Amino acid sequence: MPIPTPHSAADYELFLALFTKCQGRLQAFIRTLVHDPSQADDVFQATSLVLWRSFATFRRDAEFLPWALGTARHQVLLHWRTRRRDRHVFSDDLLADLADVAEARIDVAETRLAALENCMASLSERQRDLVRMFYGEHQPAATIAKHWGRSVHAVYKALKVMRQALFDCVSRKLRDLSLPLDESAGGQPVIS
Amino acid sequence: MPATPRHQEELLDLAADYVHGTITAADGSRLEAMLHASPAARREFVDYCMLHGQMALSTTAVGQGDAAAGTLHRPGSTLPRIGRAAAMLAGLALAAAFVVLVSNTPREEPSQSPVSDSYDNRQLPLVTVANLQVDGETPTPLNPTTLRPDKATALRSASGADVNVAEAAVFGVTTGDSGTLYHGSVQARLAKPDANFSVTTSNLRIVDKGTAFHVDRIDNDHVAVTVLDGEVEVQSRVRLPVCYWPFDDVDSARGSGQAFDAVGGLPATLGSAATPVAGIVGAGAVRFDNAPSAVATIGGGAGEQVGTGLFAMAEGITIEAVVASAWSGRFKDYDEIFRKEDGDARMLLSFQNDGTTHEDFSEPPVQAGPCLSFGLHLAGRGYHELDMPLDGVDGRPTLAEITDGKPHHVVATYDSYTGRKAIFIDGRKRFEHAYPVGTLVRCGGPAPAEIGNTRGTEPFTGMIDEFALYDFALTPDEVATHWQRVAAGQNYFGSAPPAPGSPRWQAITRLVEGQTMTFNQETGLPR
Repeated sequence: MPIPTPHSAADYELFLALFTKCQGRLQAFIRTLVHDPSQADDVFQATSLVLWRSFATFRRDAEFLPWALGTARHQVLLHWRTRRRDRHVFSDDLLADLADVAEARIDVAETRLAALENCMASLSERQRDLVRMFYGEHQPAATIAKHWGRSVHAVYKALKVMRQALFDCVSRKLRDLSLPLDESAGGQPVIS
Repeated sequence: MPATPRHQEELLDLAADYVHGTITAADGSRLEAMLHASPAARREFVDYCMLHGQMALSTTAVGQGDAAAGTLHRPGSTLPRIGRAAAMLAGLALAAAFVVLVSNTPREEPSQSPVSDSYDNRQLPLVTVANLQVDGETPTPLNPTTLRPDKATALRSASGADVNVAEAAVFGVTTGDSGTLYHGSVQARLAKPDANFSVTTSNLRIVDKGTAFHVDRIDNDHVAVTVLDGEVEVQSRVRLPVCYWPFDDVDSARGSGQAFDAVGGLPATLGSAATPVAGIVGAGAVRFDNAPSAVATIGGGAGEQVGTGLFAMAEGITIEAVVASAWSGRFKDYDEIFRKEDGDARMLLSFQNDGTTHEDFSEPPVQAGPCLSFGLHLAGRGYHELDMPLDGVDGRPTLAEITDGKPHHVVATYDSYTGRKAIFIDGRKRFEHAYPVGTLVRCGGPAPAEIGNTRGTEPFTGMIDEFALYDFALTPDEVATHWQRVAAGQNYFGSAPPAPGSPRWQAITRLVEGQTMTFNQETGLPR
């Protein structure tokens, strides 16, 4: 079968359909492995562009998500290699292992996000402010510390405590719903 | 899990320092050793990092930022990160569309800044970066996309209007020639005589009449419209359904097997197990007998593809009915009130009991058991269901209450202007979930819409009356009023049903070049 050119209208439609379907999981995968939001966005953007540019090589009878995750994984590893000089970065072997785990966990990402939303409903007003400032507006911890009249360490501590509580809450909720905690949920269920 | 709780505690403590970028070299080595040593530790670490990443995508992080009136309006304010990601994604999609156009069809060069001796703010100063169509000869609907640009962005509409979305605006692109403004401002100028573009802001629509215009959401309640050139018409939404089956044409339905939509005249063909009966409200209703042929299949209104047709409702939706249900509530028994099965872009309102098999679709997650489910595909988030447990908790009805054989007013709404998806029973909101403001719906398409069933497999048991669909979300007050009227034996509108062919929008006023007018976007009245 001839390889289609990536710039036909049909390809564009197909690419968008496939991409939009898995973009949430792709983003979750990248954010799991790249923890600074700006850098995660950059990796996501680079991944998206590489996917589009190489779409002609995507086999039409293959699944899109594994193909896209392969590209994302490559971009993540590339990112860490360029960061190695200025901070502690795991070894290539460990990063590859973590990418394997993240890939295996990606099918439950949306369920975990839904559980997280639920758990966040019980945060205090101050914690919600912290989430909004740190995660929503990406204010540095130092800025928040100044705003609160506290030390940077205290802000990091507050983030740590809140995240730990949310982590426990999400785990508990998934357990209560009898969702798999250690492996993906398997195939796509049929909707009735 | 790591071997002991103490190990887990240490692991997560180190993970926190790692994601903050504050970990010391010694602690980094310690963390690396722990992760090397144990697959369970790696899973725990990955789950923790996933949670950290997902917190930036949460409604608390993004929604509050959106909801904080003024924050997005401040020049230079920081957009929530999801906004940047969404804008980037949209940019990719639109840029891809642009590439297609350039590659496939000979066309003029993208417009550049106009040559001018002095700055003229009536001219769009930006290079067009994307084109809101895929193919000029056979236009294809765009997936609804919400732009949250962190710098001013220019687009060209399908018919050739130059559209300038301001920095920090939130702007939903719903079709190639229209958009929805949630925050900030947008400006449009027709580049060609036959071009057109309209901007909707909840209850108002600004339609060009050969012009250039600027629309600014100055706060949650008010919209300022400025005409830079030519003329615009400001319209207010007629808050009536897109289609409405009162089922009062009972005699005709008995004879022809068809009941007609009072607004658009669409026929609903009754299957053999769907019988016209005396009405809950008005003269007639339909009884569905839990058989494969218990269905009212709506003829027409379907589009050729997702995003087209009468049922393509990107900005908001309401499904409303009066039902007397005898649903069993049993595991794997499903009773559809309404369903349009366009694959991943389906919409439905149905009684369901999935057990624990379909929780991937529940948003928010709920305990297994009988529920009333409202399913929609939200752009960028995928298909999810608001599954309201029938458990009697927090004001929700029990299964016994909702299936007591008495009529109940059931309403499901989604409003992209508030991001809220909600279910109302008998005039009161009983369950809801919030998404980021500006999240659009992806629906419509070729599948037939069905009342009381889906493809013969999930028949309703009981009566359905006064079935209505709206392309916007009814407000809680409107729902309460409809319920009061139903309880008094009247239709939702307190009078004769809406006339066939009723307009969807009505003109408020026309503005001409140089005029600026501010409107209350709910009432449509000038301020």
